[in-house]
Amino acid sequence: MNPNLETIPKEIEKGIVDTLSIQLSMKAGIARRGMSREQLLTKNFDCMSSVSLNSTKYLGTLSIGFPETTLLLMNEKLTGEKLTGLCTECGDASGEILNIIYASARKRINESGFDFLPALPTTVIGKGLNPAGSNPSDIVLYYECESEVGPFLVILSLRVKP
Amino acid sequence: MFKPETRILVIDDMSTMRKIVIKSLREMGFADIHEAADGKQGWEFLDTSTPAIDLVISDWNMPNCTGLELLKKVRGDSRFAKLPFVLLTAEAEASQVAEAIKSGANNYIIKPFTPDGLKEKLEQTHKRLGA
Repeated sequence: MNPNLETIPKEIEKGIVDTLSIQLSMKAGIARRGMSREQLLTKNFDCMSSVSLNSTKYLGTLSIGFPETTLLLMNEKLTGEKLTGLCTECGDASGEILNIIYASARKRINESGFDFLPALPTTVIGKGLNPAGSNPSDIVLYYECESEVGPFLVILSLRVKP
Repeated sequence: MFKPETRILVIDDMSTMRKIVIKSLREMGFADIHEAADGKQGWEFLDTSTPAIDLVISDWNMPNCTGLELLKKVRGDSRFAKLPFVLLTAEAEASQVAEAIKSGANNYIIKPFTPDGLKEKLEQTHKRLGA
């Protein structure tokens, strides 16, 4: 029996909420879910991290994008360090948050019959980063997240392996 | 619980996670805390540290040398046969946890974790060691 594909976005969502509430002791929720590439074109971020998703049947990416203010405050909450601007440490915090979201979701996703491999995050820091560069054949789902220190976006992009 | 003077090595490729762990350890009263960015650096520190490290808290998924590879290297060296080694991982699949324990990990901490969760795991590790 094929595993249920709907498990993946559901577990990613749980991973987001759990990571924020446990690791950052912070209330966070998904304000809106969407699937339109056009809407993604309107989003800009100051820091983005991604992990490659790879399983027997599927390929894709899981990305997280932060505005500067949100990320600075999250970093402070995580490490106790007050930073005044975007820097390597901020990028590291972004990567670690994504790493925990993916790894905790991956465990539950694989328990339901998938076989996604572990992956290490890569991070880009810069003004006006746009996440809409994925393959047109991908299924793209984004989560507009709200936290007590500001908004951020998580994007799940998946396609069937040729 | 481990004594406040316990010499601890925290290994993680992500500086943020090292800072999170170190912050929590300091809040627990530990002061002699050292850090390394991967298993290779961690091994070099362990190998040369004087006085010796009393407790290792290491991430699992790291470039160069993973936490599990480091653990196997540590357990293969008679100097570190009884060194308390705790793996920090978001890779909490049952097979992986079993592999960690089989390879000689004294305990494992699953990310995300709270400071209280970390403290609890260290207390549990100390009890298991009967130290």
